[in-house]
Amino acid sequence: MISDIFETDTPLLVYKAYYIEIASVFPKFINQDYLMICIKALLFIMFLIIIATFVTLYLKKRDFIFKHHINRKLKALIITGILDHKEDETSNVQIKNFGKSLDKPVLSQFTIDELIIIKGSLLGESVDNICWLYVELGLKNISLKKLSSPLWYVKARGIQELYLMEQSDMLKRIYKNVNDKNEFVRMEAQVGIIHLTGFEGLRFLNVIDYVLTDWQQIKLLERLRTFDMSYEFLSENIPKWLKSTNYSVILFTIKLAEDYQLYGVHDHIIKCLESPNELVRNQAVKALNTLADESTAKILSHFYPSETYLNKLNILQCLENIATQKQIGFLAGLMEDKSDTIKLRAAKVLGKCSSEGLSLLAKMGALQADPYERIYQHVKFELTR
Amino acid sequence: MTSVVDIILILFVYGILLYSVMLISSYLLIGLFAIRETDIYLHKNDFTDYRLLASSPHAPQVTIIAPAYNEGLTIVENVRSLLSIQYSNLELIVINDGSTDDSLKKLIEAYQLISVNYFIDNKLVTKPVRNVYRSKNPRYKKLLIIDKENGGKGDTLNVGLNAASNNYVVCIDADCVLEQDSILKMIKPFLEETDEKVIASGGVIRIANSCVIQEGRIVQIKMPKEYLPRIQSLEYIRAFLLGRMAWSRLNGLMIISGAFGMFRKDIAIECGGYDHHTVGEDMELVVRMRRLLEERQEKYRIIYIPDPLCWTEAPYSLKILGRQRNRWTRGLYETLKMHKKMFLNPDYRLLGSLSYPYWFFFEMLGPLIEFIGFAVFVILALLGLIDWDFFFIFLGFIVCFGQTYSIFAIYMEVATYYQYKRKRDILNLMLTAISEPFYFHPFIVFSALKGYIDLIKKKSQWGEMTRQGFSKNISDPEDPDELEKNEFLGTNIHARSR
Repeated sequence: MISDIFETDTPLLVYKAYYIEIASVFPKFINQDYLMICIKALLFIMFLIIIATFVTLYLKKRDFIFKHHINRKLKALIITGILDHKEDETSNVQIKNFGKSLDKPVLSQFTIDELIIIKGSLLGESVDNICWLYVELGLKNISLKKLSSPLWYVKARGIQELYLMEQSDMLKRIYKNVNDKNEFVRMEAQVGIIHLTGFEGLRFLNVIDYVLTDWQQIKLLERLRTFDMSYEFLSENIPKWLKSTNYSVILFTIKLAEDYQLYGVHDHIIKCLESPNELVRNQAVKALNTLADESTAKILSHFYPSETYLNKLNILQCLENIATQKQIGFLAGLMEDKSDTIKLRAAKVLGKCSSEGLSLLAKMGALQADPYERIYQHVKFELTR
Repeated sequence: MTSVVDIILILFVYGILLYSVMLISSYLLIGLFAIRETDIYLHKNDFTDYRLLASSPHAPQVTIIAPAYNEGLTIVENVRSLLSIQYSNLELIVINDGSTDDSLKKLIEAYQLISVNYFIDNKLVTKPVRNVYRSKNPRYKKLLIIDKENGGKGDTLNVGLNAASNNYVVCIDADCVLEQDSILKMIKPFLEETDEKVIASGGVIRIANSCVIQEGRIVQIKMPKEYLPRIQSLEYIRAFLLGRMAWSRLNGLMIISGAFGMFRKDIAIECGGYDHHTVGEDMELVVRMRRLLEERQEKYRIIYIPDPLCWTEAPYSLKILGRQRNRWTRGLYETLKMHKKMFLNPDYRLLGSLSYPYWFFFEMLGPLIEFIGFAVFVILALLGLIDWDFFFIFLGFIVCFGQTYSIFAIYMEVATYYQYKRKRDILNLMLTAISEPFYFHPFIVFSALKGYIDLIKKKSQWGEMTRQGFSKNISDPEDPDELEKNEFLGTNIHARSR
């Protein structure tokens, strides 16, 4: 053994022993027979992948044809007005025949997908007809089964199909998922609740524990745009949501107040400037751009010194629209800031808030060309655009 | 004496063997991780309607930075293409890096530019800016053109970082063609962040040779007709759909392609911006950003988007391709050298213990080891010490493995993004994969070696990248026969967007 040689022999012999031992290992594991087996296995795998690739190509082409076919049939049902005469026996037969042709799960799924796409391009009674057809063809049951799936993407898809097909009777089952541990399931459930009930659906903000990402907030806000604003509901709930322990609920509520120009909550938004969360303060500043009153500029100037760099820039951007002559002193002080970006932003506010501000910039430029003259010229150009 | 030689020889053989086993294992793991990550991404994408973001006032403001050097042939069309990108809160900064051609003149004429007083906060030190231009035409109000002294790509991008008004910046090559929804897809991961800060996102680059391009947009995707661009298509599919997706799964990405990447400007500036002393400035910035956050012990992620978002022209000639690969080798070496502190350093967690060693052993040393292996093989062959039966079987195994891996990448492409729909194209790509080990791969190793030689000679040039331009591919997409065929094959851009 090598260990024995180590203890007893000279170094050269040790190396030689190593060599003998290692050299004998090589043929044990890497020999022509084993390599030939590996090559055959690789060739077989390669052959399987090639077959899988062409089968996939075939299936994709087949799916394309299926989809095209279903789309044509559905459009024919809509265009010929068959869905407008549901009680008519001929219409009924045609619909039933179509239903019978959906004998494979993949066809049913294509039909659901196509119905969703077609519904998106229709208005009024035609939308009801599409939803009716969805139920009549038994597709609702397929979506319902998905709600029990252990796979998140199947469950989320089921929720999506149900709300897009206006199945209001499923509201309770959808609502159960608004706080699901999977972000996509709860996201679809939250959007679904809004889709089916409008602003009232925002009640889920009272119960959610998980973070609403910016993306989810955008989805919810865009969905709300399709409804008339419920002023009373919002005024009643916004102050409560602004005190939520979930910071993302506060962020969303501030965006809501900004989008719907709820001037009545101005003071509550101002309180958010004291939040320990930087994102909340940042969002509050952005909202104040829209919700500002005559006191806002002064309040923002007050909070400015304690803010982070990015929030300072946001405050200055907000002040561009709301600052008055009263802020000239504060802004002039910022022209001494060590950051040139802060100086430029402050100069923009100075230039916009009054003619006195622009004269001040011109004077500073005359005294010190770099950077003030360049900043002055920049601001002057922007004001003339 | 003979014993010593024998021992050295056996150690060499076993060293190479161990290296090969590790490399093959890493490819297998990459394949597995890529499947998982792509599967998750595709499922997530089912619930995403990017149009919401395009119209939302809450979409973050984004700045595109496009450096241009002697792009006179295509610059006007490329800027038009960038201006038409589907994203409302957008600023476009095109920086002329002291071009010696008529790029700037063409831009001034096409976009009715006038020189303006524009203050740039030089947080990053760069070559002087000569002039800043804005358009008189309100249609182009989001366009800003900066003319500066020549300083290289990194220096030019730094000017862009200094001038950008927004915190999200997209750095691209001005000669790339972006998909209309590319910014929407790239910004989305930043909007999905929760406890981990997203610091950068990268998109898949695809080869545009032979594609039909009209008014700066890809209107028909075609497989490159020429061998070299086609094999690069395969290479890009393999690298992006497998390699980068797998590293994205592990949160171990060390590179975002310089042709198309999105970054948080504050972090990019905080770590010093692009380093203009290296020719691998894209990789170096990503590594430096990661290093900064690792040292601060902050939670962060870099995300990769597997959708084809950016199309670029691949080199047609071996000469240009060789220069490109030479530069990539030098860039990689310089980056790894600058950040050698992280090598196997547990303080840098996954970055130090897995990503860096992978790049070091397999990407950087790979060509050298292959070359040494080849040189030893030649010596042994001359000395008559080769067991030829064994050699051919072993070679067959290595070649088969490489080909199987490439064919798997083609399968992934067909099963996921399905950009090439003709059976003939796929078959062609497979044949290209089979030919790769005999022609393309040795050339790539040779170019990398030249890169090392240039490193020894301390050569730090980029190497000129002459392009043919996309205009030669323009066909008539309104031709009814073409349209019908494309609709069925789904290669028409409108059909794809449905």
